[in-house]
Amino acid sequence: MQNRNNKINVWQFAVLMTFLGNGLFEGVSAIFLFYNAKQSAPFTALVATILGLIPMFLIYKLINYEPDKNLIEKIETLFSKKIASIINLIVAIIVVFILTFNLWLIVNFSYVKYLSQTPPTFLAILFLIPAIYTVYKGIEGIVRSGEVLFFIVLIFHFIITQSLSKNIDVANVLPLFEVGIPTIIISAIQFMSYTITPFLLVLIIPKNKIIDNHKLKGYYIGGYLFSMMTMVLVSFMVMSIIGPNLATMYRFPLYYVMKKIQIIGVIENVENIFATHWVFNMYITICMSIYYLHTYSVAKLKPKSDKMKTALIFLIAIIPILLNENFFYSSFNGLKFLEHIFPLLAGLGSLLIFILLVYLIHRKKKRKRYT
Amino acid sequence: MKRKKLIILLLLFLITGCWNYRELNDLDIVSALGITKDGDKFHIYMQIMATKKEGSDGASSTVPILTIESTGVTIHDAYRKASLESAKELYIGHTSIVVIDEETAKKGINDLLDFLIRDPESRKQFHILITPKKDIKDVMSILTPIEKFPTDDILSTIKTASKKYGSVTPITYDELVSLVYAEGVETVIPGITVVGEKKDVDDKKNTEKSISNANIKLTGLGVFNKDKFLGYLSAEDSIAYNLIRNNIKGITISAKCDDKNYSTMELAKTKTNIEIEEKPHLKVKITLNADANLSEINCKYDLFSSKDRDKLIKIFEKRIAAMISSSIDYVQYNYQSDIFGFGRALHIKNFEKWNELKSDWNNIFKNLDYEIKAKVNFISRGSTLQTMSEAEKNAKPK
Repeated sequence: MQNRNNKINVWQFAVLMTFLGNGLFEGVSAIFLFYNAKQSAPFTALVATILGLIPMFLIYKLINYEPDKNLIEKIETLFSKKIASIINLIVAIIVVFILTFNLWLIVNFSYVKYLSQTPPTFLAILFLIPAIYTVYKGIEGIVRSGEVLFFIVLIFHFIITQSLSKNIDVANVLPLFEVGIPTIIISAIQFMSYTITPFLLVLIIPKNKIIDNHKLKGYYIGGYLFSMMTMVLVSFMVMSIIGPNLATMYRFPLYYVMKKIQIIGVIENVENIFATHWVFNMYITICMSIYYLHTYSVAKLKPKSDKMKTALIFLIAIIPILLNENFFYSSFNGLKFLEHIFPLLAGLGSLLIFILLVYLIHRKKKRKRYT
Repeated sequence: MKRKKLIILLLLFLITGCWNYRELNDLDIVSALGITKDGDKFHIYMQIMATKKEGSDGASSTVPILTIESTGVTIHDAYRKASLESAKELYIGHTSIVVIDEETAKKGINDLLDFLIRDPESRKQFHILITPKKDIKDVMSILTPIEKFPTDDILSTIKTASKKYGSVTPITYDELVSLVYAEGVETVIPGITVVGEKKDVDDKKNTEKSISNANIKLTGLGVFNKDKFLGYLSAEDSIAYNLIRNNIKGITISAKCDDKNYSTMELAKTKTNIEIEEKPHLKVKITLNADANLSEINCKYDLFSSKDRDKLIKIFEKRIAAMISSSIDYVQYNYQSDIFGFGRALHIKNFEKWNELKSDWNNIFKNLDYEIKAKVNFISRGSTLQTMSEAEKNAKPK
């Protein structure tokens, strides 16, 4: 790991957040959202944005607690050594799954759409090489890549929205409440587990490493809302353009909708260029996950030399390859796990940990006040 | 530094994207696909774009397409078996037309949809057409005079017919799938057939005459219920269908303006609104607003007189309402398939009521009451101010 200043500013922090929520959108959270909520998908995503403010509030509380420490160290200050190790291990497992499924998705997408004869492991290695290099450059390297990619994503979003708007048929998102309020709420909660959980990765950055951190609140909310609102907008575009029947039929419905893009009435067949913005989302989430796990493994294993630290990045990168190769090689297994286990393990698990941590911080503060 | 350079050099070899690389010359590009079913087996026709022969130079004198046939237990099976007749790898990424025969469609087209939607290479934007079983081979092998490739000819015809005549609804594969699974609206597919001397369809001479021996012709729209084909609409009923479904881009409508003569109006812009009234009984209210240009009039009307203009407008409003009414009656009586989307309007308005009625919707649709209001806005009378007879009258005063 390069020895750098490794400080980021609030803008870069917000940019980082815009990528994390979107990592598993195309191909995972979107398909479950469309499948369960049908034409109410955009509304459900909006409900998820509002409900998501609760875990985001908890994450913000954790960011503010002990601003010079990252999440791993914060957990160690709040619990005894043994319990802290267990909780840190659980969080690390959640991060491993975030990493594994982002890589799984990026590989699955490339495999299904373009490179059906290329071994998936080879594809995984190709995607991991730049991620490893970025993580090697430290958090500064990650956010700087994110900053560049953010502007590309922003331009892509603008062109996509602008060129597809003529295909919108609002009747496709009606009747709005046919699936029923309970289904909308359940779907929103499931959606949150894929989109909100990756935000825990920002906790690996101690607040003191953020320049101008007194402005963090606004940027934090802004980053979150931007990330979620893009998903609301994309769900609306997909549902209103192709309707619930096609949206629930395709493995990658957004990709399919992008086939309809026509720029200034002339330029067509550009979906593959625009599809890269999902790759950017997954790429930054993969970088942040490796960075988190690297920080965790350095804290636990305490390697003495820099070479050992660098070697750890490579070792961490091998974990998702092995998991994908052995457990999620079939896309059915991966989707089954994501549908039934991931929301409980990652979504509910991380939420319970956040609640526990914030409760302990609150109690600790109360005690301090009395003493 | 040396090590970095070595890694970059290695990456250059690794990240070349050559794993799935296929030379264009190694592919047989399938431009159209015809699907029929014989018993349990699928029989497919593939129209392949003929490429220049290896080693030949200059323009090839051979025909631009080659049609091959194959049979299999699934479409994919038949497609793979077709490799036995093809020197190159078949590629369906550029397929622009899929033709299904009537008999197969009568049994249901769900079986035909799966392969094409699942295959990652197919673009799902190709047009679907329906044809009589006896014609499918001819449609797939016909050589057309205007465009080099017959698929381009068919696509241009679909485009022009839908734009200028209005009796054709271009249905792409994704729209078909969406309609087949949609609630409260049934699908239609344009029909195609071959007219003329069918024995000459695949003869190159067919493209070399000013009057072709054989040519393709689009017929009316094929009506479906769920995935099953029921029958065709006439050209006029197809235009009415397109008016109701807001598929019209700019069509002409002719109406009798006196005892003998006709007048024609071009509908520049139309907007149809479907509303469902639930009480006292289910009733559909169809409101059509059209901006129209007068394109031809052979009757003695004074177009400066608002009375005559209103009379003409009323004639066209009645004509449009009659066309729509006749189309609905025909479909209600013959097919009982809600291709107009009245059920969809009810679904949007009151989904609870729709859920109650949807299982019996075909019967309800059969007797569904409706009311049509057509409003024509006369926006232009073309390049002339008067009718020819009025102009003549003014030029030679008595």
